Parts: sequence; C-alpha cells; structure tokens
Amino acid sequence: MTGARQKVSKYAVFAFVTFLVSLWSVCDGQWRTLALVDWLDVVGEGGAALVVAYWLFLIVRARPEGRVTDQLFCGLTCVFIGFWLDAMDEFVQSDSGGFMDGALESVVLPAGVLIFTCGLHAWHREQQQINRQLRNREQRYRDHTAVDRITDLGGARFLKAQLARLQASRIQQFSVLLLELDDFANFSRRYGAAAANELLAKVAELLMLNLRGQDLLCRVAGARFAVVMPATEAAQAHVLAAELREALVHYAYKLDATGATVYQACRSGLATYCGQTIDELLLQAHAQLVANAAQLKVA
Amino acid sequence: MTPHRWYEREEKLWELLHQPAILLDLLTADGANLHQLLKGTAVFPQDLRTGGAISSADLIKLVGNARLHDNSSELAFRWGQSLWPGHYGAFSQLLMGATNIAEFVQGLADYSHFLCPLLVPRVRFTEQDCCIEWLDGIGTGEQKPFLVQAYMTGVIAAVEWLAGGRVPWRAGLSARSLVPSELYLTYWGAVPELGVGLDVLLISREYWLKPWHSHRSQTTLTAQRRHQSQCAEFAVNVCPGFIFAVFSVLEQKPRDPPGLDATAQILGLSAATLKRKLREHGWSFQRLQDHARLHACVYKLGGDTATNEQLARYFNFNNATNFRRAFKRWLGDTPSQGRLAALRLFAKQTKTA
Repeated sequence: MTGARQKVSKYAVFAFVTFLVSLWSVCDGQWRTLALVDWLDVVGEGGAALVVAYWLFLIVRARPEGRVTDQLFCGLTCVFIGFWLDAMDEFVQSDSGGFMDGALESVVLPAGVLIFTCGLHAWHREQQQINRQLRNREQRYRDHTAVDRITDLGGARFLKAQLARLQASRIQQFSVLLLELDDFANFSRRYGAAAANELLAKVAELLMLNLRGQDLLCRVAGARFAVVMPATEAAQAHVLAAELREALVHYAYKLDATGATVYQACRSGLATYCGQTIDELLLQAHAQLVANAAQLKVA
Repeated sequence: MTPHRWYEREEKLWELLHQPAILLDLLTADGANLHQLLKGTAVFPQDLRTGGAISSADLIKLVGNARLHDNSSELAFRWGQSLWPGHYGAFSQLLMGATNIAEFVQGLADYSHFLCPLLVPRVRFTEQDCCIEWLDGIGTGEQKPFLVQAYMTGVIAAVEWLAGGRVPWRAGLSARSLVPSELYLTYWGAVPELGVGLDVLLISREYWLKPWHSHRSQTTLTAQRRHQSQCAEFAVNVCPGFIFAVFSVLEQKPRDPPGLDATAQILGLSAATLKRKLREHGWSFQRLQDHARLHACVYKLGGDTATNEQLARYFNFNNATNFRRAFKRWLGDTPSQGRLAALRLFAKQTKTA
C-alpha cells in the first residue's frame, strides 16, 4: 500500500509542478490571437510533451521506489516541462521578454536530459545485478512472455528455444534432465491448488540452489521440471541428476495451514544430446523417466 | 404439450459448486480477479458460497474468460486433473468404487450430465481398442478443444490414481492444437494424433476389463450397488443437449443422413425452427451433417483397408472425386492425409515387455 501511495504522490507532484509552471507562464505573458498560432508547432511540441508524460507514467508504474526511480522521474519531469512550455509559448507571448524563454532553452530541457541520463546509468548497473540473480532462470535470454506465473521459470516453449540455441551454438555437448514430483495430482487433490502452487515454487527454488552457474531450470508442465546442463558429459550429468534427486527427497515441505511436513518422491530421466533433434531429445528423456518410474514401482 | 427431449443453451442446469468452482478455484489461487472471470455471465461472487445453477451459455463464457486470464496452455490440464472423482456426492462415490477402466468410464458416460458438463462421452469398440469419444452436447464452439483436453486429462488422471499406475492411453484430437507436445507427454504420457476429425481417447482392449484390485469385499459391492441406485434416481429426468440430440438423429444413417426437413420432422420441429435453433447454438445443419459423416468415415479409414472408391460407394457418392471433395470439406484435409492420421491413431500396438 505504501508503494502505491508513493506512486500517487509522484503523480501529484508532477501535476502540481505542471500547473505551477503553466500558471506562471500565463501570468507572465499575454494570450496571442489564435490566427498567429503555429499549429504544427503545437502538435509537435505538445505531442512530444504528452509522449514524455506517458514514458514517465510507465516508468513510475513499473519500477519500485528508490534512488534510480527518483532520478528518472525528475529527469523526465524536467524534459516534459521543457516541451510543455514550448507548446504553451505558441499561445502565450512572454512579457518579461526573456526570462521564461531563456530558462526554457538553456536550463530546464538540458537539465532534465542530464538527470535522466544519470538515472539511466544507475539503472544499467542495477539491471546487471538483477541479471546475475536471474542467471539460472534465463541464461542470458529474457522472454517475459514465456515466464510461468507460479515458479517464475520458463515453460516448455522457452525450454525448446533454449535447447535450439544450444544446438546451433558451438556447445555441442549438453544434457537434459527431466525431474518430476511423484503423486503431485494427489497432493493437489488433498491440500488444494494454493498449496500445490506453493510447493512448485519452493521446489523450483530448492532445485536452483543445487545448480551450477551455467545450468538452466525450466518448468515444463505440471510438476515436471527440466534442467539443461551445457558443456556437460553424460557421466557428470548423471552425478548432478543424483544430487538433485537427493535434495528433493530430503526436502521437508511444511504445509502452511497445519505446519505438517510432507516429503516428496520424484522420478527422473536424463538424455544427452548426440545429433538428434530437440523433440527427439526430449522424447528420449521422457521415455527414460517413464522407464525409471516403472522400475521403482517394481522394486 | 411436446415432452422436453433436450436442453438448450440458456437453461440453468449445471451446479456451480461442482466443476465450474474447481476451475475458478484454480484461477483465484493464481491471483486472478473473480469479477473479471464472471464477466458476461449471470453469476455473482456470492453464488459461489451459496451454490446455484449455471446455464450452458454462461459456463461456456466462463471457460472463455478463464482462458483469457491464463496465458499458459496448462489450465485445461490442471482443471482436468482435479475433476474426478471429485466431490459430487453419489456420483463421485460411484467413480471411486470402480474396479477397472470399463466401470469408471461407464459411470462417467451414464452420468455425464452431472460429471462432465457440455460434452458427451461415448464408448465405442474397434477390433483392438476401446474408444471414448467426446461429442459436443450443446454447441461449445471455440471452447471445445479446451473442454476435450480437460476431460481427457481427467480420465487419465483419475484412472492413474484409482489404478495405482499409468495406463498406455492414446488420443486423437480434431483440433490442430498449438499446445507444446511436452504438456501432453507430462499429463497424458503420449502425444496425441492431431487433425484426426474426432476427439477420442483410446485404450487397448486388454486394459479395459483388467481389475485394479485383486479382491473386492461384499461390503464394497453392496455399497457400489447402493451408489448406482442413488445415481439412477438423480438421473431420471435428464435429457441430452440440443446439438447432441440432432447429431444422434443424423448419425443413425451415415450413408444417407436425413435432410433438414426430415430431421426437423423426427425432432418434432419446423424446418425453420430447427435452422434457427442450430444457429443459436453455433452450428449449421450442413456442418452437423458433415460432422456425423466424418465420424463414421474416420473409423472406416482407421480400420478397414477401404479405398476412396469403396468409401465413395459406401457414402453414396457418384464417384471418388465427389467423395474426395466432400471429405475435404468435412475434415479440412484430403482423404489420404486423413487416412494417415487415422491409421497412426488406430495402429496395431506392439505389446510392451
């Protein structure tokens, strides 16, 4: 709630400053006759002002509170004021004959651009930090439309796109591990959809803690996850798979409602790339998972 | 007064607290807004606490709204997984008491009105398979593929739970779906055959009557009989959906289906009324007639080694060219492509070790 309130206060500041500056401009000058107005200028500068206002709205809405947002906000507000006064100039002839015009051209607009640039520079450094945090979810390729709402991981389409990129790159040796929670449908039935979503989100975090920097985690569907291990030999991939299984099996998930512990069993299938198509690779991993599951049942 | 032999779109028949509530639960758990989901329907949020009935038109609208709010292709599968046995009183008890696939599917088919709104499951046998077809009950239009995905997932998931393990299902879908195959592999264990012309779930005959448990006590048998009679009592006044009622008339004679006037007469309507009602439900007479003939044709393509000439004779076309043209209209693809798809679907399965 405080976040929303602070955003509203930013919009209020923006509106107030615009009002103040417009009032000053009107009081400081005289209205021109409409016949003398250059409408092209109005549309151009007024339009630019409105677009800048829209940029400001988008940025304030999307970003959390902080120093970087404040810098971007101040910068864009000044740029907006610059364009706005420029457009108003067409309607109001300045009396003082110099101060407003001078301020416009030499100070407000360039100052705004400068402050905005500082903000962008800080945003650049901030983004690099975020990219580092998202490495295991993205591996340097962001597609916000492919992100799964429950776990913040990429889905089946993202997985296939990433595998295709690996196939096309020089890294010709990679493995795919499919890891699926046993009996997830039952868990969902017993404890409800909210608990099921929470379990998936936590399992995703747990798996990521056990990955290397270059590995990628995706949620294929349901309770099935995929780990892409680039530049990894089959033997090492098997070791990593065993580690992930161990981690999952020992995870003491706590139900929110009762605090009871629910342990998870899982099944997995591993396939190493050796020239086949991506679909065949995934089908191979799936077949391995099914075979392993059947074996475990018999045992 | 003509007896009411079918239900129509605007009749409030489906219990809100059953399958629709499960769908809404899934979405609200994901953070969707309930008011947005109920937009365009006659349902209020408080109805979800007290219960009530929802019409087919509203349920179809609800499904449409749900799909808009969920950008993943997974919603149908997740909904399907939580559908059955469910909490539907005697009907759920009946499903839980099933001891093999046949009993489960029969329960579903007998009481589909209470267990799977809007679509009609129907069992059909080929030489080596048991086929569960999913037919349009009331004109589900664009939402049919979603409902088919959900219900097929429901059958597969419920059987897996009750049987204690996965069974090798195969599936054919009429839609050329854009869902990634990995979703099918995860939820169904197999990728379906697309663009087949039917929505059908197949299982090899050997699994149909295979018992899931070695022993059944007298108590459970008695209980199951009691559930059966309870369900039968509820189902006394049930009638089929309008589209299914018309389809049933048309498919009785696939070789020479009745025309608009004849069908209207059988149903006790005027031709104009039939035409209007079909339009209201999102179908046209020609399309429904084509659909009925396509149904019959797909099984023939998958089973017999019928050539286009033989099929043309069977369906009373003058020659193979006319048949080919008509088939292309029915399926949207040539008979040879249709035959390939059908053959892949109904192919003889090699026994797995």
